[in-house]
Amino acid sequence: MLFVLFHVGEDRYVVDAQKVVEVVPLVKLSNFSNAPDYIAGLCNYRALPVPVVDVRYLLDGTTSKQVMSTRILLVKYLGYAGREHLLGMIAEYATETIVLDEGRFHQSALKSSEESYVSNIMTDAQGVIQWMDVDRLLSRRDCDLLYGSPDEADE
Amino acid sequence: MGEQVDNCWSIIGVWSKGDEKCPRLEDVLHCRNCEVYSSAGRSLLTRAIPEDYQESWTVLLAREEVNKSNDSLSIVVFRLGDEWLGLPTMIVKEISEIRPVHGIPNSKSAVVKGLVNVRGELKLWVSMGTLLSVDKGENYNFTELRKSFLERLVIIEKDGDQFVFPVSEIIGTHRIWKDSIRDVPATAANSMYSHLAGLFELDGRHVGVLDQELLLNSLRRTLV
Repeated sequence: MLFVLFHVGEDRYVVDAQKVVEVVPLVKLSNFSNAPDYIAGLCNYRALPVPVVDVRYLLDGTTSKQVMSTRILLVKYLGYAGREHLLGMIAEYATETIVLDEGRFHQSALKSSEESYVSNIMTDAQGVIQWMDVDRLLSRRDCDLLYGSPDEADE
Repeated sequence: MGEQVDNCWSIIGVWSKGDEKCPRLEDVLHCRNCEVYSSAGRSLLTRAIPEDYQESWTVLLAREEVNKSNDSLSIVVFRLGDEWLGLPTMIVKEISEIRPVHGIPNSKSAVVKGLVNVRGELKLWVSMGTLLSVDKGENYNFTELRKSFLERLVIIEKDGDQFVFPVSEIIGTHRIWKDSIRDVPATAANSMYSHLAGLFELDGRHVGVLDQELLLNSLRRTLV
């Protein structure tokens, strides 16, 4: 299975490459008022406003470094209502893809908690790789906040 | 902006024009093996994002996608004498250096030149020039050395049939939009044009896209 590799600080994380639509440089984002802290802003992606999560901020509370290798992964995010949205993820050192054997991932003990976007863990020669589940990045409340709740949309 | 990169490789390294040489070269032979060079390369990734770069990407990304159709085609473009031709990348199995051809006794076909050994497998060497009536041409009057430097063998495969043919030069693979392919002029009627599916322009050259079915049919016919 193909993954996109990135870093959060010193740690390595991957997301399923199938979920990634495009990897783009760290473009300028518009301010998204009232959004949770970890939302770095709105990215104008082909005339479509896409909320962008700063993954590092989400995990350890520091903002990602503003360097060339920090990029935005545009991913397909499956919201709680079963609808697919575009979501941007600011990821450090997003320079490589990596082929990993799915079977080598172990279920993490954190699985039980509700906001466990890191679901599976594996190790290789260089240490631990954590598999980030894109669909669980946002809590239900934040998903509704960013994309509108499904009930509103239906009306 | 990031820190200034010390470009020692072009001052005292292999890319320098001066006489002064880096003492490390004795050990590493080439700058690309040197850690100074590779860490400078890595530092490109960790430098700050230039303002205008970020600006231009922001604008670029905000633009709506112009060509949304997925109707594109990957083409391997090569030169045969004076003619620029292309084949769908899907049927090109391999491109390799020129190997010696071994003639087949009593072969009457002008197109089949013989057999060629590609990693222990014997494959049919055919002359695309003869099949398409394309001669060596005059526009690319290179020295023999340069010619032999550019020449390549193209190995194509479709439905289990494999053919090998030499080309004068390989330009590479290009992705083109299907709607940028124009029809072949109706007045053109030689053997090459009758094998073309269309023409497109690449860097000011007209490249003929070979129709793979027609081409393979013609090749198969030379065998019987």
